[in-house]
Amino acid sequence: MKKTHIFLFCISLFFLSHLSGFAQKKDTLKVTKPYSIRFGIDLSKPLTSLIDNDKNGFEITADFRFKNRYYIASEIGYTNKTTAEDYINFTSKGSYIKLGVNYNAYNNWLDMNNEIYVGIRYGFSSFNQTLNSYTINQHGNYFDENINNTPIEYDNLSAHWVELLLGVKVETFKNLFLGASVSFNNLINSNDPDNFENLYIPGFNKRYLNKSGAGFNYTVSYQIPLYKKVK
Amino acid sequence: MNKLFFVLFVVVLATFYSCENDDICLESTTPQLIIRFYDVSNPTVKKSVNSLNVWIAAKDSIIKNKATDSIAIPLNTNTTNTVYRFSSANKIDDLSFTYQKGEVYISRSCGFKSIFQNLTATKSSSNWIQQVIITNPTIENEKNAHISILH
Repeated sequence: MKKTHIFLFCISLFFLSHLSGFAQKKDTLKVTKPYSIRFGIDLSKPLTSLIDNDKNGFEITADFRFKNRYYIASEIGYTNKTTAEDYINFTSKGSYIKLGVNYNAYNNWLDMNNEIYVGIRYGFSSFNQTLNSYTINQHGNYFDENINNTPIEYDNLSAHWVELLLGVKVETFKNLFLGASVSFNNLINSNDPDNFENLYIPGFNKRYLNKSGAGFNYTVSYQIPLYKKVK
Repeated sequence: MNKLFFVLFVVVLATFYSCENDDICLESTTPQLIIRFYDVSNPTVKKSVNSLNVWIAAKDSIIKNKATDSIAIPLNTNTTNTVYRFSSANKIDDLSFTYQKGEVYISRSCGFKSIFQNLTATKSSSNWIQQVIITNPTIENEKNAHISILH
């Protein structure tokens, strides 16, 4: 996690160095926009933990505006989720990182800083899966059910995927933003254990047959203005 | 630029979401043992049993008074041996099936199934069953018969 932050910071510096010489000529009214780094947390995950005992996790978000409408964005999080299906019960736990770009499609009025954005992310997760119990799926009930209650651990699993996002961010107080986004995920690669499958991947969420997933978050974030520029 | 971005977004989104429903188990699960009945005097010709009963001692019949030349019966996945009683016209023969079992993952909604290997069958008597031939000692699916019974 610490490494990732350093990594993000380096990327930030890289884009900072490219910003000089960027100026808007057409407008006569000069509106300055803050170029800032923004940190936030996802409110939905702690809230879900309160309602659903089988799921807990957290996510922190960060983004940095490097061009008028473009933001570098990242999410880092941890999830521990137990899923009960008809014949299997398993727990997935691990951490994930997502890195990508948001494009703000909203035309702000003067010095407002709201966003309706689309985004793309590359996601990576490193996690463990435990098959807590399973019942052999067999015809009828002529024989007793064959239930296996000895947990089976699958360690060192990983997956990567691509996400497309759609979201909004609204500046509610000075520098304080509320945001919501939905994401549609497509798995690139998942190293599945022998004789089982990564059915839930932290960050990617429930995996559907055709390698699709979906997610959402509600964030509250605080921006630290670095410098202001004309648009 | 704006419009182009959105069109691109929608197109990519559409390719992502050709959803499949995986909540219902549609794959085949633990295979049953498939037995075909043949004529002992002409082992290539199928011969129906007129009134077949199959059960496990102290349990209800799984096949009851059936006129058939093939049956599918489950094997016990809790043990490596299942003994069935076969009766035809009040004559009873016991068949003991011994096997090794394995567990194979199917899918989220189907879970795991058992498969059986190295199947052997021994009969206790020859009251109506003359011969038992294992045609397929590995029970992974229900596509073909695993055992032929000559009577």
